[in-house]
Amino acid sequence: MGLVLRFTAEDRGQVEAIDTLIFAALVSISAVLIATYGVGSYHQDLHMQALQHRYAADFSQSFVMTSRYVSAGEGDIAYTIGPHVSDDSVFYSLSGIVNRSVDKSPLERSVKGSILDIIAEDLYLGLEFHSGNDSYPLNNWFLTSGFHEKVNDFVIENLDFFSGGMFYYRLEASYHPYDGTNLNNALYSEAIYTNARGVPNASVYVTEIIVAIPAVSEDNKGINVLSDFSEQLNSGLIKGLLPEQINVSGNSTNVTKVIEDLDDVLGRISETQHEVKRIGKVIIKIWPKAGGGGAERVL
Amino acid sequence: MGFVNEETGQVEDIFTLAVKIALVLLFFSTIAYSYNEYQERKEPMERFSASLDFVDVLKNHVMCVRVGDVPNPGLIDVADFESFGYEEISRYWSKPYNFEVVIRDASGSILYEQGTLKRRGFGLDEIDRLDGVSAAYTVVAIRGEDGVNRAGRMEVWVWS
Repeated sequence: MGLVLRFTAEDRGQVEAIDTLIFAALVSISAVLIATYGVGSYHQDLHMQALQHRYAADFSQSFVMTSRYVSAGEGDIAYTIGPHVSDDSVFYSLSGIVNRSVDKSPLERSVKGSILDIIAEDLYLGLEFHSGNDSYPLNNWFLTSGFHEKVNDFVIENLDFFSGGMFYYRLEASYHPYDGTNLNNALYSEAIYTNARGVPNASVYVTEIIVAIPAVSEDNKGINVLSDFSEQLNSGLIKGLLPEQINVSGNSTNVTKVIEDLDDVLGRISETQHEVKRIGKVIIKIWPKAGGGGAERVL
Repeated sequence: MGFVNEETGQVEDIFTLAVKIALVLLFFSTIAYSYNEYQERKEPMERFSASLDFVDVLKNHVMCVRVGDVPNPGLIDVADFESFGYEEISRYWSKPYNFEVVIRDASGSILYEQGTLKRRGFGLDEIDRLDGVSAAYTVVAIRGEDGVNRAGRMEVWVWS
């Protein structure tokens, strides 16, 4: 015997009203879902991301190409080795540390070249000994005229123009002249040029380029040259020309202590001769500003 | 006013039908609105994509300095500007949009302009009066008359 449900007309009206409400709920939910996620919205987002990524990639590529062409003007970047050094032979001893060669006067030098050349020069002249928590600038003892500040201003000025206010950029430049040796973690230089306060997340567009360190000579006995320099420091030939106090890691330190630390570092270096690397590395990270100046005209 | 049972059912049927029709209309109007939104977002992306393509073609292939037959992508010589008139560059443009190509130096001064506006005798500030404009910028190196390469910017503006 089956179950037979019978509705009166009033019951049927109630059932249909409930049915209608359920139907209304379903349609409303569908409409909201379609409006939010439907009709290609998801693909549009993907397309948008792809376009932004391509723009960042194109920008990065343009940056690399342009920075190989664009040159600093005559006298834009200049520096002086001195003023404590008055004897050319001392300068040449110093230049031997990093195997640099000069064209004209050893005491004054104007850097000409592309942005990447200038970054390479900045790396080259920014070599530091790192010992514990301290770092000892190798060339800054003699370098004057605010060279690093000039380089930084020049690079930032150009990169700001390149970015057009629409991109954040962060250039991480590094130079390890004795890669693969004990000296690798003791002697190197790093420089960062950026218009962003924070570090970008992993999704930003990253380009890595190699820059040629311009002033490295054919001498591949770099460690021996460093040792020679250390001996000259001990002999007082150069020490007498240095200021008594130098700035190390933001603190004023007696130069004698620095030289002792330098000797200590050099004493721990393997005597194996290693070729001095002639290339540095620049990692370019670029990511769009959200709502940056002019961005509203892009899309 | 009282209804008998059957009349009550008819009134509810009419009410139900009206609600269903309203909901179906709402449903289709939502779809229509959504599609309209889709189109409004799609076209700027297409314009932007077209402007990126054009920037790439001009900068890296058409206008770049050549040494022999070897191109120097991204390096443009001001001495070559005269040879890149509207006809010369528009042959590389196949999209159904208007375009304006502008090259500026670092100070913002216009070194080169070519496109629909200039051809029709309008200034570049007309762009501000247009609706639905997309633009792609890129950096280029510009070789000046003194032979020095300086930073510049290429802009491609695209609108319907």
